[in-house]
Amino acid sequence: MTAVTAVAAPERSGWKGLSPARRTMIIWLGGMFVLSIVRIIADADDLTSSGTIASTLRVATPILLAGMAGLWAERAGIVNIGIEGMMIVGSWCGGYGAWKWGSWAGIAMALVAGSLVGLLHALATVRFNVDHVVSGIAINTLAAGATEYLSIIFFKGQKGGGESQSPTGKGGYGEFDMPFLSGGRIGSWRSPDILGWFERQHDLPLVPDVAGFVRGLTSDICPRWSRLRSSHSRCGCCGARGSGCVCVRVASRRRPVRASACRSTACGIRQWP
Amino acid sequence: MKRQQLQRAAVTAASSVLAVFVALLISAVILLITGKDPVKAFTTLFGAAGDTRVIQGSLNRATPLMISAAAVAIGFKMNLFNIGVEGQMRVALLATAVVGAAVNLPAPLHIALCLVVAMASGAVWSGIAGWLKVKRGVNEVISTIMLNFIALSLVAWAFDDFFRVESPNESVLVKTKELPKSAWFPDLVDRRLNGMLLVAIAVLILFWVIVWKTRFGFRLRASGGNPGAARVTGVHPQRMILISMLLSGALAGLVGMRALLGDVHAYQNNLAEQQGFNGIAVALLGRNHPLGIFFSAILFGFLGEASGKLQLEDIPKEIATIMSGIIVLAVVIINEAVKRWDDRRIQRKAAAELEKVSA
Repeated sequence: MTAVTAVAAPERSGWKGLSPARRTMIIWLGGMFVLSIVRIIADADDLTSSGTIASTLRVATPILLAGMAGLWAERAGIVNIGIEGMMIVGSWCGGYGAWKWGSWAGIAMALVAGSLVGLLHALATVRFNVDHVVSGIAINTLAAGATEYLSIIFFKGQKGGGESQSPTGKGGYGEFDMPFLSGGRIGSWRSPDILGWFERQHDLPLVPDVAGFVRGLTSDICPRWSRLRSSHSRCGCCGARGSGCVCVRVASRRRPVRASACRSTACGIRQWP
Repeated sequence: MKRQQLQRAAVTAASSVLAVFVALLISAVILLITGKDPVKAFTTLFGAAGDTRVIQGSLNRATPLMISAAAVAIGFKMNLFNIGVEGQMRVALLATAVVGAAVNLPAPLHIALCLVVAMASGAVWSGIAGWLKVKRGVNEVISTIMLNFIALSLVAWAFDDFFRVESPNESVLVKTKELPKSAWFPDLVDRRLNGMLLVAIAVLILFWVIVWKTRFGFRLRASGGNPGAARVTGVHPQRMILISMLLSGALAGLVGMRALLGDVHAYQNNLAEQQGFNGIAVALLGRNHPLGIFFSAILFGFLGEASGKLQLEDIPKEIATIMSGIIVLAVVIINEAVKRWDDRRIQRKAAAELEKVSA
C-alpha cells in the first residue's frame, strides 16, 4: 500500500511539493503582504480597505456582464460589436421600468430590451447574412440615438430626470452585510463587526489587509439604491454626449488638485473644486 | 455584358433608395409612437435643403466623413476592417497640432507639411495594427478597437501633461498653442465652407483611380474577393494587409484636418469627435464606392446640419441619429435581400435557357 503511494506520488520537496490549493494560497498571501507593506510605507490606508475592494467589485460587475455577453455570442459564432448598443438600450429601459414600476421591473425590462436588440442583430446576421461587424456598428449608432431621443421625450423635465439620466427609481434591492463578519443585522439586532475591528488595526502588517479584503467581499453586498442612470451619459463638464464620455476625477501631474475632467473623448473643460 | 452591368448597378442604386425610404418609414413610426408629427418633422428636415447656409454647412460636415469613409473603405475592399480610424485620427490631430505650431513656413508649404505629418502619424498608428496582423495574426477588428482606447487615453494624457496652454480663464476650453496663420486652410465660403472639401473630393477621386485603375487596386480587390485565388496568382497577402492598413491610416490622419487647419487652428479634446466612427457608417451606406461615399457623406452631413432645425419644432434632433442608424441597418439588410432575389432571378433565367437548349 505504501509502496503504491510512493510510486504514484514521487517525493518532491519545496514549491513543487505543495498542492495547487496551497500554492494559490501562498501567492495570494504574498500579494497581500506586498500590498500591506506598500500601504504602511505610503501611509495609504485606503489601498486595501473594504471600501476599495467593494468598489472594485461594483465597477467590475458591468464589465463582467458585458464580457459574458460577448462570450455568449462568440460561442454561437456571432461577432457581437453591438454589445454597447444592447447595453445602453437595456439600461435605458431598466431606468424607465425602475422609475415607473420599481427596481425589479427595471431589471426585467432591461433583460427584455437587451434581448430584443440582440434579436435585431440576429435577424440581420443570421436571417439576412449581413456582416456581423457592420450590423453591430449600425446597432450602436441606432441605440445611441434612440436612448437620447427617448430620454429627451420621457425623462427630461421629470423630477430627478434629464436628457442623460432617468428619474430616481422606486424601491431598491435591499442591503445585506454578512452577520458577525461585517456587522450585518439578524432581525433587528446588529451583530458585531469583527472584520471591521481588524481592518482598523492599521499598524499591523497583513491583518487589516486580509480583513479589508474579506470584508469588502461580505459587506454592502446590495448597495443602497442610488440612482439607476441610463448609461448613455452626457459629460457633466462639456455637455458632449457620447457613450465613451465619462466624467472622472483625475489628478493632473502639472496640477496636483483633483479636477473633474472628461476622460476618454475628453472635452478639455475642467472644473476646479 | 454591358447590359448586365447596368442592371446590376440599377439594382444596387434601387436597393439603396429603397433602404432610405424604409428608414424614413420606420422613423415616421417612431415619431408617431412618441407623439410627434412625422409630416412636420420631415418637411422641416428636408425643407432645410433649400437653404444655402444649410447646404454649405452640410458640405462642411461631409468633408471629414468623406475622408474617413474612404479610409474605412480601402480596408473593406480587401475584407480588412479598420475600426480604428477614430484613434488614428486623434493621434494625427495632436501630432499635427504640435508640429504645425512649432515650425514657421510659407503658407502652402506649411499646410502641405501639416497634411504630411497627419498622414504619417495616422499611418504609424494603423501600422501597429497591420504589423500585429501580419506578424502575430491578431484580428484587426480587435486590435484597432483596443488601439482606439489606447490612442484616446494616450492623446488626452499627452495633451494634458505636455502640450496644453494654460488659459487665464480656467473654465474655458483648453487648447494647444495656436497654429500660425500660414497653416490655416483657406475657406471657400468665409467661415461656412472650408477648402478641405476639395481635398476630400481629391481623395475620393484618387481612391477610385487607385482601387479600380491600378495593379495594386486589382490585387487589393482580388485579395478581398477571393484570398485563396489571389495568393495562388502571386499576390503577397501579408504585404497587401500592411500596405492597405498604412494607406487607411494615412487617410484617417487627414480626417481631422478640416477641424484643425480649417476651423479651430489648435488641438482641443473634443476636436472632430466621432468622425472616425461615423465614417464607417458612411462607407457602408456608400457601398465602398467613391461616388456612393460622396453622396452618403453629404446625406449624413445634411442630417446632422438640418437636425438643428427640428429643435425649433420641439422635436429632439436625435431623431437624425436614429435615422442614420436605421438607414445603415436597412441598407445592409435590404441589399442582402435584393442580392438574393437577384441571384435567384438569374438562376431561374439560366435554368429556363438550359431547358430551351436541352428541349
